[in-house]
Amino acid sequence: MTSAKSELWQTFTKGIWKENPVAYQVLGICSALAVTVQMHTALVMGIALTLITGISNLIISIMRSKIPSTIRIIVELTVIASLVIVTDQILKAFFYDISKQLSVFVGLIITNCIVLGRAEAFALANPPLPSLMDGLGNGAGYGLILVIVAFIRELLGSGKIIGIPVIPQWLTDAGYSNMGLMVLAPGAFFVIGLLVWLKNSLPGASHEEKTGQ
Amino acid sequence: MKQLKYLFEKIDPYFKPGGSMSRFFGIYQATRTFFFLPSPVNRCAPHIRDHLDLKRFMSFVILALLPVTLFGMYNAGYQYYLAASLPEQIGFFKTFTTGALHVVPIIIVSYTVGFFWEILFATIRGHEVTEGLLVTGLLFPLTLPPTIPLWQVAVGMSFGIVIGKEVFGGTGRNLLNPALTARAFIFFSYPASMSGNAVWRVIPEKITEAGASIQNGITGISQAIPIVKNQIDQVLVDALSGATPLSLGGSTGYIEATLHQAGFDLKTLLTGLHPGSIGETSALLCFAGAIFLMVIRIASYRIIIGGIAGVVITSMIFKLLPGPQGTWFSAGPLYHLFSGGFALGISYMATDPVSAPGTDAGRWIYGFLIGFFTVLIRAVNPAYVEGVMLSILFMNVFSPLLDHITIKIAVAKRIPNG
Amino acid sequence: MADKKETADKTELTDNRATALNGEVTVSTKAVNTEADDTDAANTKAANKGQQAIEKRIYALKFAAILCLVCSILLTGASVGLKPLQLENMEIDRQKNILKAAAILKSDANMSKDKIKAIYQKNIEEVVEEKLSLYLYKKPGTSKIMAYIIPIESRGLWGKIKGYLAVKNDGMTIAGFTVYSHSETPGLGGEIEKNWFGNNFIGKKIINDSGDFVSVTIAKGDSDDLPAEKKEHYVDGISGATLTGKYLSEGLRENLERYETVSVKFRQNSF
Repeated sequence: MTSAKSELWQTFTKGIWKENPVAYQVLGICSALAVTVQMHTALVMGIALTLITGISNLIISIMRSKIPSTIRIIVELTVIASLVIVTDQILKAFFYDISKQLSVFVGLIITNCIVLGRAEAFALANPPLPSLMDGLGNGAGYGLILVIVAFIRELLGSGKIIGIPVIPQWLTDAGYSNMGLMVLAPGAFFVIGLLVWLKNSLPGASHEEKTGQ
Repeated sequence: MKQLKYLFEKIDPYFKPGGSMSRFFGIYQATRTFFFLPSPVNRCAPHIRDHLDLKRFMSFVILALLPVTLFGMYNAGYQYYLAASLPEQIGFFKTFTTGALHVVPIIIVSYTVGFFWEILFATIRGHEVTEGLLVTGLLFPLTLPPTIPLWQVAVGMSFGIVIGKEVFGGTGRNLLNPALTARAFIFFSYPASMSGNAVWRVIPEKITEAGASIQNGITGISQAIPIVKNQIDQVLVDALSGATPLSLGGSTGYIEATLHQAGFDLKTLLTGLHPGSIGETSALLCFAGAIFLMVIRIASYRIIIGGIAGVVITSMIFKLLPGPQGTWFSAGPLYHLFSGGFALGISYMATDPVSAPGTDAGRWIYGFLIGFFTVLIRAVNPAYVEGVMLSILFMNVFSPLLDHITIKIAVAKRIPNG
Repeated sequence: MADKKETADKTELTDNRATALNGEVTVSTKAVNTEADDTDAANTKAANKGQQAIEKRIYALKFAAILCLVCSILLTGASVGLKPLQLENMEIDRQKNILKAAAILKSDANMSKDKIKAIYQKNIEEVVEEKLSLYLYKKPGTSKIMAYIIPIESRGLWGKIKGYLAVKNDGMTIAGFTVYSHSETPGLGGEIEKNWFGNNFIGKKIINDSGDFVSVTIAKGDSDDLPAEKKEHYVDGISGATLTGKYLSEGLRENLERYETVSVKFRQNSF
């Protein structure tokens, strides 16, 4: 019993850190560039993706023995697309300002490789509960990177954290100004690159690469 | 010198592998080779008998850059006093020192920050401190406006060294020119300190009493009228807006007339007493440095001549085409050659042997395309008037491809053996 | 049925081959016999496989149909159910921007939906005048028009700039300006969405002393540096964003020119 539990836990944490979808699998970069200018958009995007990946994994895993293999990609996409559209509609109805800032990127979760990748690689071959955990873990891993990147970008690019100005006036008076590059998409590229560098140079972070495999 | 050598020999063992200070071998090595040629020689062929190792190589580039730097300092001072409408009253020496006071700190910050990162990486990775930094650390300040805040210089240099060079593995492995990477970073990060009309000239914060009275004499304002700050500001603004030649493109009328009206005739552009980045204003000195580097065969003449040809041909074609007369679209080849950072860029940055192609044919194409893109960006893109930086970085990215294609073609042409 | 026909075809084929092998007829007849047996078995197998494949295909189609049905019901439900909320949100967003332009709302004010709606209904009236839609800002409780607000759509350097411009009831003084959507460079042209830039416009005149339309223009640099007679029609520019300013000036001129007929009415007090 305990071992089953810890296995589930491991499935979950693997997605967050060791096999992080952005930093390790390098998936979902496009949206990671686009929605990380401010922290609250990143947070909402992370939560949306976590839920969608988790639920789509769950649904697909439940249906996994029924899905005809010839049309499995289309089936997966249909499930994901439906979830994404529902999420988009809910955001538009209840969090209008945020959905305006996220603009097309919620809709583009459909094309986010993480969701389809997890469905194809994990949910089709595993029972529902681990699939759910895997989906949630990967989504959370994506969200984690997004929030870190957004924290750095918002702090350096706009001088704010979650919309609250944190740069003291005396610093601005002394000649400080915000780093405009951080507001542009290339800024996110650099931050993500540096994060991957940091992750890979941490001890034990990427076992495979260090042993030369 | 002998004593110095003795000292180095004495402390040598501590830094050799196994010594107590072997961790800092890089720093030691760097200091030592700064004074003395390294003693190890190749044990097997090929042997090249040449004193030009990387350090001497870089020293010559610095030598070629010196006149440009010194002139940049003088020009900064000249512009400073011009803004106060007093260039004639100030002697050469004072002008120079005023300019140096603004320029030297930028250079010092650039070198300090650069060496900090270089030494940090050398120590962690256990390799020598490399000499590429000597040139990067001087080139980067030359591409900046004299009003740049020093902390931005530090941030830019950090980015240029770490992202532009160290992530690729250090000197000799970089894909992009680090100095230009640093400049591009500053350009996009702090656009307010890199664009517009206000940044290219250091404007005196307040004009001294003496200056004010001289000014009264000149402008004929009676001494009795107290000088109001606004009036001085008005004089400042009217005197010259501080616009660079390239930023004048948007206005109506013919571009050449606009340039002349603003005081940018070819002679001014060539000698360089006009606002601009520290090192870019004097096309004459830049090209002189380029000739020096070509003669001692450090810079590839193919790149430089290719670049000039690119600018001349492209701008001539644009001039012949019907286009907006008021923009740089229809400025002739000479204006394109002598204004902005083209002279500095093509002479010192495009010729960076690491980020330029290694094949001769590749160099011709590389140089030509730099010239072509420079004119294209200046003429067609309305937002980023300075095309040199972007076009060199762009071609840096393509230089491995140029090499690859050149070699492929050469291999295909070869008559097979036997 | 189909199976049998297929088997027949196959035997025919084998026969043909047997006759083709002239010299070895006797030997091959035997071979044909055994071969025929083999093919029979193989044919049945293939037939089964074919049938299976068809069944699979039908199953896949059924599966897809059911899935699509479920999904579309789900989506339609979500879309229809949430539509009113979404429309309300869009409406409130528009109202907020208009209120900001008329300087009724502070631009950083964070208010509930109902409050914004209430304020909007109290202050703003939408009218169509001379085939142009505009918004009137009326002092609450009275019918006195304080200002009128016109939507602005302009070209920018990188994309469209959208905003609202409020003009006072004298038909010439600008009361406020906001930009709610643009794609200019952050830090340079992007400054147009900032408060300081919008506040610049307040009090500027769109006609000159002799009553001719001159629009309002974004200066290169400080408008204070301009001669006095120009100051009224120029607002401070953004350093390093000359072109954004140029395009926005052109856009403002176009929009104001379109609305000039309305503005004239206001000037003649005949609205």
